Amino acid sequence: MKYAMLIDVSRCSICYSCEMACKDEYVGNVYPPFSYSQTDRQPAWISVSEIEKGKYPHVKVYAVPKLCMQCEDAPCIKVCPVPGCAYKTDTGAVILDPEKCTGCKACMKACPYDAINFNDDKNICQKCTLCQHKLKEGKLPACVDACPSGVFFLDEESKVKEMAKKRGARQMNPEYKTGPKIYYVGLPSISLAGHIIDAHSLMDVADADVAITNSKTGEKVALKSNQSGNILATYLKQDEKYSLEIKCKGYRSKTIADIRLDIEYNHLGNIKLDKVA
Amino acid sequence: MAGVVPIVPPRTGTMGGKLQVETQRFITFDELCSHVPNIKVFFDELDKKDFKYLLIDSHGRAVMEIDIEAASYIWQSYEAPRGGFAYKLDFDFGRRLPRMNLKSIISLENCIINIRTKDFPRGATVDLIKNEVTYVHDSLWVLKGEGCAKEAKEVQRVLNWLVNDKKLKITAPGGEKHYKELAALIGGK
Amino acid sequence: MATVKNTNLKLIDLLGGVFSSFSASESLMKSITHSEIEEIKKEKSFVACTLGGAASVRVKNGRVIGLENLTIPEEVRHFKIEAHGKVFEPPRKYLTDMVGHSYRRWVYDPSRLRYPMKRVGWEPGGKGTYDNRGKGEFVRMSWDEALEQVSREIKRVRDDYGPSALCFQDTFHQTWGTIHGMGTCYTIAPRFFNLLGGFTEYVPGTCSWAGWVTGATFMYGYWWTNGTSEGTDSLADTLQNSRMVVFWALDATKSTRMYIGHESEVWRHWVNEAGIKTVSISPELHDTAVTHCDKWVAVYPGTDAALAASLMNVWINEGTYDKEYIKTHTVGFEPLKNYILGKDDGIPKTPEWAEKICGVKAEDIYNLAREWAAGPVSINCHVAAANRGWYGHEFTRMMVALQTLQGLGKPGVNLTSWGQVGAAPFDKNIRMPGYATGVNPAAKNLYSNPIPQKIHTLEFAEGILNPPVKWTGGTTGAAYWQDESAFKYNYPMKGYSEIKLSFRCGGGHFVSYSNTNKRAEAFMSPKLETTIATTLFMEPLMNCFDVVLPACTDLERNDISMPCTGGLYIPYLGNCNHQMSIYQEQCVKPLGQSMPDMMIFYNLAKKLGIYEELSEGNTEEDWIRKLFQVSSLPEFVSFEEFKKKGVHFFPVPEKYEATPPLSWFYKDRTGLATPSGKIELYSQVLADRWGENNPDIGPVPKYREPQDGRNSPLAKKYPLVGFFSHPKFRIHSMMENVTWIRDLHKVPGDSGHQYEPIWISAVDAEARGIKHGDILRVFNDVGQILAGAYVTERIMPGTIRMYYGAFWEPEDPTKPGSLDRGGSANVLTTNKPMSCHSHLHRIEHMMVEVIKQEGEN
Repeated sequence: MKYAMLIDVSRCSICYSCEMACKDEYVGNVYPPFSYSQTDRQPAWISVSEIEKGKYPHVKVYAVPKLCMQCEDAPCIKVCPVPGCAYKTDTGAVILDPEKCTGCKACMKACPYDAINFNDDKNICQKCTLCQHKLKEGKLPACVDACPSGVFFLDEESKVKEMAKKRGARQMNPEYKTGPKIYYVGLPSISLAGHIIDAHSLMDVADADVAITNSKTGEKVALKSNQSGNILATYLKQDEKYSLEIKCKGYRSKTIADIRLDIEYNHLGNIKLDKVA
Repeated sequence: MAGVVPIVPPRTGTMGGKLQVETQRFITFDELCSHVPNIKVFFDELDKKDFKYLLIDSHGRAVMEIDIEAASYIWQSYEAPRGGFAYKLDFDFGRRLPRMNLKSIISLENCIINIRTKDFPRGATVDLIKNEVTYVHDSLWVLKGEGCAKEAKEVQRVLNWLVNDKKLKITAPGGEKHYKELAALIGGK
Repeated sequence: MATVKNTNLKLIDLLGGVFSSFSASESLMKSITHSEIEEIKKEKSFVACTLGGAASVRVKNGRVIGLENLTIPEEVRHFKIEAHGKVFEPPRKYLTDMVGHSYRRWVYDPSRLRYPMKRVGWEPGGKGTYDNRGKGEFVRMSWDEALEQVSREIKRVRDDYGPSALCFQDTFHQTWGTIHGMGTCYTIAPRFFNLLGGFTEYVPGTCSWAGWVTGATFMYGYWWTNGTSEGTDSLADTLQNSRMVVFWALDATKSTRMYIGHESEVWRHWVNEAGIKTVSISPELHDTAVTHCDKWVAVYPGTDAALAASLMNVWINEGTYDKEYIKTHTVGFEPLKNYILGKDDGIPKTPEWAEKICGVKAEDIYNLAREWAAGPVSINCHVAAANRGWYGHEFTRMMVALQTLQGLGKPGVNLTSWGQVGAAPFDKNIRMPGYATGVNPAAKNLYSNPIPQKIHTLEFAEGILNPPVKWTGGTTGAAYWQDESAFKYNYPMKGYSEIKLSFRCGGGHFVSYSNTNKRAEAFMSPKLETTIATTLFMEPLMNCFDVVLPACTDLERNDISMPCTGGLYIPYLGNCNHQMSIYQEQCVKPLGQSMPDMMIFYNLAKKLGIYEELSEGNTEEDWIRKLFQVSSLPEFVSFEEFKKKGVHFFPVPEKYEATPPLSWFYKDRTGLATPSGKIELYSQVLADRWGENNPDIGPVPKYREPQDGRNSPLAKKYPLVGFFSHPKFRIHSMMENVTWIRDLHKVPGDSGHQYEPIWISAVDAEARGIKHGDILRVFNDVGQILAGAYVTERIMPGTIRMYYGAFWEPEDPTKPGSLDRGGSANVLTTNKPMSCHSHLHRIEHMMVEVIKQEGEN
């Protein structure tokens, strides 16, 4: 069965259990033929980056776990000079054979995701093996098993693609065109946020209908404010003008024009709606 | 005598007032001072003589007074081994730890004090109940016979007071001998 | 498949590991049969209870090779909660955390102490030299020598000065166990000293609960659980009935993990999935807020009480509080109301007033107040950071007052801290001993400490260096707290000795207490003739001791326990998803010559003639068996079966009766452990003892301006408000040496030294010419440390945040005030108590300044 993975960034608790579980699985342990011992020092074969966007007090933090993308069209396999050293398994994972590897680092230079690490002790290139040795026993990869927050969804490729489509998940840097098998929900993108409140009571207005329109192209994004009156529109374009229109039962419509997305996470603050007289 | 239930006082209820219990316990310094006048006198004299001292151990039988302050109680009777009945009284103070005071000391097993000299934390040890000096610092041995060093003089000063003024008997093994040696070397009081 | 060609490499890999100095290959070279080799090579699995909760340990070739989440079998009935049209069910695995997953790295760290050592120049009898204390010059000793010298030294000090000259200090937090580890610290060790005639108690105070112990207790009792009301069944109560969850001064994901792992993290996700509103109130945008909260309300450290008062101001003015409940369940509302409305001091505590103090915009305060009053709110705030800082007791009283005005105990209105105090369904009839009662339930005789002399942690340094000292109150929240806060103490007491010998169980701990430098100075003072510590690691603090004895971790010895519970002040209240008891079977032999904690005391007892009384003839196995007998386990499983399986799971009762927190009080209207039996918004006890005009405490909760806070003269020199929280990457100072964890967060210096991070806002950094990754000197009147700048938008300008507990690495340990390269935040905190009535630490908040440290770092 070929695997793919969906990662929900918004669920990440930034607990680093996945990184520690990876270290615990691999440092000092070998799993022939897939992997030799990982280095004691960083990095692990999964790493979580804490990315901050916005300015105090409107700050958004994305905790993005990154692993080898197990690319369909893997550059590392293409450039590896040793026959049979870099190959794909029946699970779709890409393996760098620790026995055959000569440490030439060609794969490291070729990987656009920086997913490959050099092990100084053993003079070989190493990366995430999607815990092949565990998959073969019907167990989950260490990071997936360790996660308390349900960040990782690992399953048969078509099921993952279906879920990705449903949830609007995207690949990281699809422009590299390597066919990465990991889909992310909630990656950092140019965003516009706000908090909709009642102008009089100052309380949250939930379920308001919000339309964000790109003033140049006319592209529209439609969303609803959540239970706390928050809205978040993602994957907008920087330095382009937008307008925002809010409609909510019992309230007068409100439009905010000429919104410029100066930074990556833009927040409109409290947006007050007046009740219909 | 199964089947026969003896008559006992009211089974459950609330008690107030104070309860006195006799018990074995350690006695603290403050308790010795407030309840054993002759020991307090001893301490006061030590203070006046400028001898430093430490309470090492004091153990005895005392009466503790417990402030009941409305604790619920229950009388229980139960079958004793080999027939008959036995009786138990349970108090429940709830979450409040009851106040307890030492009311009086019935008897003291020991009251061990270390008296220190300027140089030795344990110049001599006395048991004020047995009226004995149970330990004497072997200052001469330590000084390897250097003669009338001031450290040895200090120990002798303490011993002189204990033996001559307080009339304590030296029971420390070798203590009597050492005292005599000190007296011979240093002489006088 | 590729064939293995480099057999040498493979063998070393299998047996060694890159950080090992333990040579397993040697033992395999001796004569050993083929089948024995096969047996060793097989991977075995053990159930363990670690600092990260329960886990499954993988052992191969006599070595731990990994830790995994423990699986809970399908047959074990567990809870399901229905709420908001969903059914919430926990995963069938025990979720350990970064501590659990990096455990073997900790166990096998090269800094493990493998044999007893003594400081060069130390001699028993108080005859050695003291000037190289702190310099780390040690020589190895055999156990025979160590036990002989230590026991003789204990005897000498006791005979010369009396038992009061012995000071035994426990560390509350070290390895997990009921007999060993923390169980030894709480029971075996004090028992040992009590059999010798007692000791001067080192009163640790409760750093994490200080505000609860001396604040909330006066309103609603609960001093036997450190001032925290039960959180039992608050999970279902919140999911089913609460409209909003507020995390007040609590980074729950981080702070509730200690010894428990991530069991409660799933619950916070359920709150989000149920569509319940969530708010985080804190000076920082912490992990819990990032993952789980709709709103971040940024408040200046120490000003939470002002924000709370303004919420109540809105409710009282708008009549949106539970007037009936106030009448039936409380006393003293009028004086509180007068404070809130400004009738007593002429200052109404409006949102506009609060804005100036706490930094939250009035508009946002009205939003919070009105949202709060619109439906039941659950506050997660026990163990909160604010309770261990400036006027922490007012913060906790305000938390109780807020919920009281909304009907505390009503469905959905609760005060809790998931993980730490509950809250999943569990079998309430299960008894299981824990570390707080240790071996005591199985002991025939108990021995108490007859020495009345104590020394409080806040007075320790001064007491050793410049006695005499005196203080009032300050023990841990024991049975009689309300009276205890008025007890007067002095040290040394007449007739008793100053401390001459200090015995510390569980390694150095003074980076987690106030004024580290001063504390270390006291420890290194020649007035302490001998200092002894049992420890796992040769961490920098061990340099302050004369004799160090190697203890072993909880994977290297046998024990019995229940995860998430200690008994006594932390009973099991549904703290994790599955209730279980674990036979902590020894997974691997103790490293080097390290010994289980209890055995160290057993061996010392043999030398001192108290072995019979200490052990009552019990071996380690005997104690485990006896504790098994006093627990509920025999009703379900035999000892042999329990030992074989390693774990017994207690299913949730089929017909489950939930008892949500204080729902009984909501029904009965009385029964709290307060003088009136009701919630006391006005406390007569406090009024009688401290009057109405004391600057530190009064009968009614108030916002109080700290005398050394951001509006004080001190702020002119040190303008940044430092908040020093429970660490994320450590448990106090444990795990500080784990490379895998250090690499996650430490800031590298030019020299390769790893610096403790300091969070500084982008605005403050720019004003000081500081960039991300720069090394900074953080300083105030108390001390100075180096830290690595983490420039961020996630904290309020005007504040800085560090986690306490980093290793203490002064340039010159013998010089007080020496610059600490380890970045230990408590170098900057004082021994000043929280208030005249609360003699406990207030080390969460201190004013500091930072400056870029030039040169190579």
